[in-house]
This record gives sequence, C-alpha cells and structure tokens, in this order.
Amino acid sequence: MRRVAVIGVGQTRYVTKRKDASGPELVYEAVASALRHAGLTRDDIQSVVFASAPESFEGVAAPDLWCADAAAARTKPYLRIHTGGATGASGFLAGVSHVASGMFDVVLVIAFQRVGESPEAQAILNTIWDPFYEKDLALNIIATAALHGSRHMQKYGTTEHQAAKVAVKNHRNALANPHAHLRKAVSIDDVLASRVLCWPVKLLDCCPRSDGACAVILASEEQARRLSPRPAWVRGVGSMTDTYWLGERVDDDGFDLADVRPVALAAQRAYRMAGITKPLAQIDVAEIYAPFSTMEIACYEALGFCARGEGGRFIEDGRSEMTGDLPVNPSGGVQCANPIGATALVRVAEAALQVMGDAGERQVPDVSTAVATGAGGMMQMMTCAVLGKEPA
Amino acid sequence: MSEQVAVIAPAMVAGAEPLTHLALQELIFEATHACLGRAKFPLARVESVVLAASDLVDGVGISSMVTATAAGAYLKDEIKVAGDGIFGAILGYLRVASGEFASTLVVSWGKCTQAPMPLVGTLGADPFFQRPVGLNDVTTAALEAGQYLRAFGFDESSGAAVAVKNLAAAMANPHAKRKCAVSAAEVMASRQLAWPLRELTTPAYADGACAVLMVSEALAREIRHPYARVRGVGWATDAYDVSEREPAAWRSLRIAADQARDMARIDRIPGRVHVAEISEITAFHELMAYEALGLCKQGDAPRVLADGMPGPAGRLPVNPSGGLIATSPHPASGLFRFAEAVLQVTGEAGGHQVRDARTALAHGASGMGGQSSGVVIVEGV
Repeated sequence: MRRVAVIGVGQTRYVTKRKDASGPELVYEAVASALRHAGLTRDDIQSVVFASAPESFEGVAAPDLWCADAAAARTKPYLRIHTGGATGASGFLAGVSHVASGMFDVVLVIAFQRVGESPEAQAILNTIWDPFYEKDLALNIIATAALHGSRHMQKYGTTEHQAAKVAVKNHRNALANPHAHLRKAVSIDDVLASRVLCWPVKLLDCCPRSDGACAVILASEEQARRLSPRPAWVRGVGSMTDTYWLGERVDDDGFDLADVRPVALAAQRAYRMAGITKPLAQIDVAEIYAPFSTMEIACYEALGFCARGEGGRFIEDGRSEMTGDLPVNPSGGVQCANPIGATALVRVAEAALQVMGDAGERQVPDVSTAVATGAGGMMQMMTCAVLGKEPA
Repeated sequence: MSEQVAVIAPAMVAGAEPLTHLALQELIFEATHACLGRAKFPLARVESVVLAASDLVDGVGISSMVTATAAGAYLKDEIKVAGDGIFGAILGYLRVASGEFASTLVVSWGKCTQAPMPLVGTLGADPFFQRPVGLNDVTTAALEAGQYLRAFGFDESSGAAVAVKNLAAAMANPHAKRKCAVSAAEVMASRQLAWPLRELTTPAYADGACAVLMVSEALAREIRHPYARVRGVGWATDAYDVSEREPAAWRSLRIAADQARDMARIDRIPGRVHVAEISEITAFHELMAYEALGLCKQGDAPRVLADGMPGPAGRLPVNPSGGLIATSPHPASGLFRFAEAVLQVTGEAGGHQVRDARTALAHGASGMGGQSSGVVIVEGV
C-alpha cells in the first residue's frame, strides 16, 4: 500500500448552534483553515471526500452536493461517506484509499454536521433503530449507552465514581482546547450529582450536541515530504462492523456488549499494519471516540491499554490523565464536543496535531505515535487509525 | 503501483412488480447471496464491503446499522457511500487498487415503492433560496432539459425518441419495471411533470438491489468465473446552483468520462467502447450524454439517435438494458448500470446482449440535475 500522510488540519469551533453561518459557510471555514495549515490553495486539492451523518439533522439531503463549492470540489472527483458516528473516520479511511490507490496525491477530507439545526437530536436518533422490533421501545443513544455502561459495571465492577473521573478529566483537558464546545471544569461530585438521564449515565457523563466541521488534507509520500516539514504518517488503519443487535454482541471468547469488540478488532488490524505489539509502551497519546464515560473505560481495554475489566482502574490510577502513562483525549474528547458526522475526523485531526507538534496548549510532549478511534451506530461500526512521526 | 481490479458475478434483484414480499434486509440479502453464489466465493473470504444507499429512501436513519450485515458485512471492514451506487463501485475500486483488500463486495439498493420519492427529491434543495421557488430534482432536471431544447431549437419529441428506444430495449431486460414498448405519441401523451418532462421521459422508480464482487485480478483468475477488468475510472461534481452549470450540456459526465477514458488510454469513445450504460435522469439528459461522451458534436444528439447510432444495432448501443426510464431502484441505479456493463463484456447479458461487446462504459449520477457523475470503463478478458 502506498504511504499516506496528513499534512494539514482545520476545525471550526464547536457550539450548540452556529447562527452566524450556513452549512456551506461552516464547511468553508474548516476547509480554508486546513488549506492554510498545509500551505496549499484549493487548486492543489485533486479529490474530495465529504463525510456527514444523518442529513435529517440539517434537513437538507445530500449536504455534500449543497456544500460542493465550499468543499473545493467543483469539477473534482467527490463523494460522500456516511457511517453514523464513525463517519468522519470512515471518510478519513476513504481518503487514505484515494491516495493509496495511486490515483491522487493530494486529497481533502471534510466532515460536517449541524446537530443544532434540529430541535431535538435524540428524536432524530430515535429513527435509527430497527423499525419493526425496537423503535417503539423509545431507544436512543443515551439508553443504549446506559445498557452498555450497566453491563460493564456488572461484569467488571466498574463504578460510577470511576466513570465520573473520565468526565472530570475530559472537561479539564478541554479548557486547553479553543475549539471545544464545553469548556468548564467539573468535579467528581458535580458529575455524580448531575441529573440521571438513564442510569448509570448522568448529564455530565454525556456529550453535548454540536455544530461544526473539520477538514484533514492527505498526501502521498512524495508530496508529503515536499509540502510538509512534519507530516503525520498513516501507519495503520482498521474498521470493523458488528451485528446491529445489541443482545447478540457475544462470542466464544467471552466478549459481550460491555467489551466493544469491533474497536478491538479494528485496532488489531491497525496495530498490525503499524507494528504495534505493546500498545501502552508504543502509543504516546490517544483520541478515543467516547460520547459517554463508561465507553471510554471500555475502550481502554479494547485498545489494549490494560487488560479486560481493568479500564476502571486505568482511570482511577490516573494513567489516562495528561500526566499519566498514556494521555487520552487531550482535546477533551467527544464528551466536550460532538458534531456527530465530524467527530470521528476530529479525533484523527487531534491525533495528527499531536504528532505534528501543533496541538498548542494541549500538546503532549514528545509524541511519536498517536491513535484515533471512531464509533458509529451503537458502537457497531468502529474504526482505528494509528498516526506517527515516521511511516510504517 | 495500482493493482488491476476485476469485477465478478454481478447480481441484480429487481423486476416489474414492487418487492413487497421482501423486507429491505431480505432484498439486500438476496442480491448479495446471489452474487457470492454465482462466483462460488465464500463470504468468509470477502475482506471488505462497500455499501451505497440513502437513509431517506430506506426510511431509517444511519440505515447501514440495520442493513450492513444483510450485505455480508458482519465482522468485516464495511463502509457506506451516501450517493449513487456507481460511487460504491468507485470506492470499491480504490480499496482493491490500493492493495488494501484483495476482495470487496459492493452492494447498493433502493426500495422506492416504499419511499416518498417526490419528498426525497425535494429535500435535496436548500431551504433558503431553492425550495421557496419550487426547485427540486424534477424541476432542476426540467430546467436543464429546457435549456438544451432551446439552445438547439429542438422540441419535446427528441426526448420521446429516447424513451421509445429505451422502453423497447427494456422488453428484453428481466429486471425492468416498465415492460411496455411505447410509441412517441404515447410518450408525449403521458402525464406532464414539469416542461418538457413527461412521466415516460423520466426514471421509473422501482425496488431493487444489486451486488458485485470486485477483486484483484490475481484473485479473479483463481475464482475462475468470467470477469471484467476495470480499465478506467473517473468522477466529477458540478456546481450545486444549476445556473452556474454549463447550459445545454452534462458537464459532470463529460469530465468523468474524459478522466475514465484517459486512465483507460482510450482516445475516443465511439469505436473503442462498444456499449454504454448511462444513468439518464431524463430522456433529454441521455441526448446530452451522447454529446458528453463524444458520440457527436453538441446539438447533434437527436440526429445521431434518429440515424440509429446509439440504438441496439448501432455503432455504440446506449442503454440496451433500457436505462433508468425502464427501471430506477434509486440510488442503486448506477450500480445496476455497472452490473449491466460488466455482463455485456463477459457475454452474460442474455436477451439484451450486444454482440462482440468487449469494452463497456457505465455511468451513475447523484444530485439534482445529475450534479455529480461517476464513470467506469470495463473490458472483458
């Protein structure tokens, strides 16, 4: 596979509702920012991948076509990817394929969502469930996250206190991220006292709903070396789709819903490509897609940062703090900004910034290798990308 | 270096009747299962799955959640394109050409009889400047068709001639929805949608699913089923605002076809390509397609049609399957065109086989007025 690197990143700030910008204008902001970061103009972009999740949020079908000019795509090869919450990362993987195929040397991936355009995000998300057997149960993402969280607590003894620590960490980290939506420190007591939405998920364990866009520019090896002093090389990628049915997420290895199997499998492939055999030792920072505290805990395990069931202890011991063994979500993560279709690309962008040394106040020192994950559906379609200072 | 990519065993599930006896997942399963069965390629060996579908047509948000595994994606690397099925084939091509995957299933579907298609078409228009003046997929295509007629002094009957050709061809296509040869007078008497468009000069929204297997050529040889090799791929998107597109022309198709042609090292399409399956979003767009593909100069399309060049016995048959006017399981239509093109060059097109078809071009389109086009050129081996 041809080598591919990230050479530029752009993001809008993430807020509840951008009243001052239309969809195309949001897209333009992110794309222009990424072009500036990479030192390129729109004429340098040879092909574009647009990533956005349910168009019901914006109320405009085919938002990629609506935003074509803002995405620098007029007359160019252009397509849209949509895999729910994993969309931004799937778009990234599609972009990697564009460059790795040999057809293109410079490709733009632009991810976008206007969650704030719809009056109630959960009402939109109520439409994603199986229409015959499940939809009338008023399932939504929060309820299913609660099913996952309570299962993890029952299986491994994970506590609400440990979950709260994840939220505290992410909210604190977000203070150093100018793009983050939620920038307010919270204490463990604040989290534990916040309104229970669906036990064990409390308000402060949850992501916000955000408007925003994120753009990442990919280049072939030859162009990356020519155009960028410090590209973030794509060392490994993986994506895995599990069964839709939550009750069937079980297998013979003792995995069940608690264990987020698809991200473990996606990571397996990405790690193999990247030569990662000892994740804790070889990975310097991780941006994990976790809209809820207990999901982040489960992902520590699935990504091999600790043994299965030890995720609660991982956060308890401070190992995923900025000062810990493996900082997780220096950006504040999904709990502090969730522009759904863009969110998984934001994880990649933040990981790339860490590798490029451009993460500003949230920079982790001496990053060589970073991991970014994405999650779509109810932890059903999951991705993993490994970025590094050197190509694989 | 890019891998050579082969396409094997296209399977289509579609017909004249609504598929009310199949739930969406069952429809998808039927096509996927048929493809793998024909290729005798076990699901366990499929490394990747690319889907192309629309939440709005499926009536389910993030519809890949409930449909992916019906397309064979359980515990596989799966990704969904939100757009016409041709873009699924294109992403499938990239995944194999890059060497990332030796095999990719590409599956696309649409159960249009279950979807409020006029509403789906209207939602593509922006709510600020377009919907208030009645712009939607039909009126956008109508404006473009009208521009073409006015630019060259033609009338509606030039579109009727395309419909007559395509619906006659569809009689030999078991997957067609409209199975009735018609006269030009019958086309012109069909319900007017928006001038110059009439019902029979626009797509027949239908239920259908299509699955194809795309593999490295090395793997294709091992599979020992007739296969087509991808020679060229191109795709391009025009301006969203129809007033900023090139009038009386289908620019996104022209750019996409030129790219695919260049990649295939083909200097011109007539004479080198033996059959074309294009996504004629209206009969008038098929006329513009002849011109975009270089079959004739701009403004000459009705004449070359009257002379028979794109007809079933002509120099470059266009839409021997009957195209979208015969059947459009939107947004899978472009993957159906791709399947038809592959079947032509592997000699498996049955009743609508074009003789000696060795190289074929397939086209799919997304967006109002065909804003975005994808083209793949395949050859038999």
